[in-house]
Amino acid sequence: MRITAEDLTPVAFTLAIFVLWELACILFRIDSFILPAPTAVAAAMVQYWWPLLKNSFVTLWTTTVGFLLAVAFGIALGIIVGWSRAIYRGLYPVMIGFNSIPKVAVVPILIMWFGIGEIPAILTAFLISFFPIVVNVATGLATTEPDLEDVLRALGASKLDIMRKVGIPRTGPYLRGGGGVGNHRRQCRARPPDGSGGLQLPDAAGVRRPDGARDRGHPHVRGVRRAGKAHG
Amino acid sequence: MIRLHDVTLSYRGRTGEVTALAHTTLKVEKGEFAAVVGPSGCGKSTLMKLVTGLIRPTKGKVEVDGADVTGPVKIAGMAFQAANMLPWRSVIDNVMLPLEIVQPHRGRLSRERAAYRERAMDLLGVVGLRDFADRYPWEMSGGMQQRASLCRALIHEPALLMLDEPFAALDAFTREELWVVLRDLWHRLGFTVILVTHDLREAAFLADTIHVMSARPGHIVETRTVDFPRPRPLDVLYTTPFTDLVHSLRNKIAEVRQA
Ligand SMILES: Nc1ncnc2c1ncn2[C@@H]1O[C@H](COP(=O)(O)OP(=O)(O)OP(=O)(O)O)[C@@H](O)[C@H]1O
Ligand SMILES: [Mg+2]
Repeated sequence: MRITAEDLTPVAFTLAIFVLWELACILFRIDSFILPAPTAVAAAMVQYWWPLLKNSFVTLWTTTVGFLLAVAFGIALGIIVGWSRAIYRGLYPVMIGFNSIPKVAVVPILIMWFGIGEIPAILTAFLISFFPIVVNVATGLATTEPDLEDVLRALGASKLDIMRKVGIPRTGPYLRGGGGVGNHRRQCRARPPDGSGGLQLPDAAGVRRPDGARDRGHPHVRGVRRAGKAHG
Repeated sequence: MIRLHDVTLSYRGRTGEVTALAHTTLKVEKGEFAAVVGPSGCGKSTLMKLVTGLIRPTKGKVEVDGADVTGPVKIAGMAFQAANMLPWRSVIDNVMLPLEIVQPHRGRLSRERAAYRERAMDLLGVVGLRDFADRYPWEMSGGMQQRASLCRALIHEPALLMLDEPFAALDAFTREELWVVLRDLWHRLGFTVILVTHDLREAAFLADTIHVMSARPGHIVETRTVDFPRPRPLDVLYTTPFTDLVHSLRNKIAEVRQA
């Protein structure tokens, strides 16, 4: 494998942004209370490494549990919803509606119900990933190409066969996209694992492009953010 | 092998009924290569769905192999204009997909995987894709995908091959290449074919009989027997009787479009 210029751009851009940020802080004499420079952040990360790590760990496991629950229930509900076009069409607006509720708005209610602690955290993580997973799985199932469905049905395939051979496998990449947290790209192209082409699906809110690599980073980022809050 | 007796089919839609086929009568014998041509929207794809049992006629009767069609016929392989390969499966796994569905192969597949794989490889060999068996569909050109799609339609050795404009999206050279591939597969395996096409040369080169359909609501207005000797080389395309046939078919379709 050769490293191309394209592979380096994310690194280059990230570095450039940090440099700009640092320069801006120095140049405009921004108070570290308003916006700490990256170097100050790094120094704090070294100084408070233990509480950061401890809190990150809590966030990591609560979000992981929430996410796994969302995967389990999301796939189950997604399969039910995607099974028939009628259910899909009926429930789709409802799911999109639920999904568009800002999850932050629900957090206080969860805290009222369950108190402060791990449960609201798990539930928040669950809520964030649940609806996108349902929508993605259901869409993947409900929108099998009519031609392909005909090919299989003419062979005597049952609905279950079509689900098993086409519907469910094709939700794989969606799942990784749906599992990612919080980036609402309104684009949807089911890609094979290496992301080099695939089936075309209609554009729909809440259905994301599946590129798991990027999204898998999120719990960590969130963890640091939360740990920072907890600390200070 | 295939009989349509006075078949009418109406689609019931939001905006009222559309009658796609009206009083269509068609006969295709076992092992025959039949082509269906006609103006766009005249019900050719509908005809295919009727024969394979994917939809039921509103009126009339469809018979395949002497039995009334009441559901998917299970003896047909189909290929369409889009190859519709599953992108997460390698070419050979795509080709072997029907084996996971049709009995008796379905029950045998796990035990006799190697033998079936051999069969798939042979078929891929015939269409010139042996070296691509373990590649993925997106690594192939449109023409190659269409070859694979043909293999998928034939892997379970169906008695009936249904092709709905299978080569329409290909360039002229690739198309001619695939005509030859299809011709040879048909000689080798002896299945019955119904080929829907807009390409009159394609119909004339491949078929034993050409059925011309009227504009919607469609029915068969003319049936031509094509008796160029077989095996037909591509050179047939450039003979006078061939061009005459294509020309008269063209005129016929122009006429039914006007009507
Ligand atoms: N599922 C459907 N619901 C309602 N109407 C349909 C449906 N499928 C086809 N039709 C109508 O039936 C008619 C025949 O359609 P069909 O697809 O059989 O035509 P075709 O001959 O295959 O056309 P083309 O050459 O363009 O592929 C068309 O007028 C179309 O609008
Ligand atoms: Mg058609």
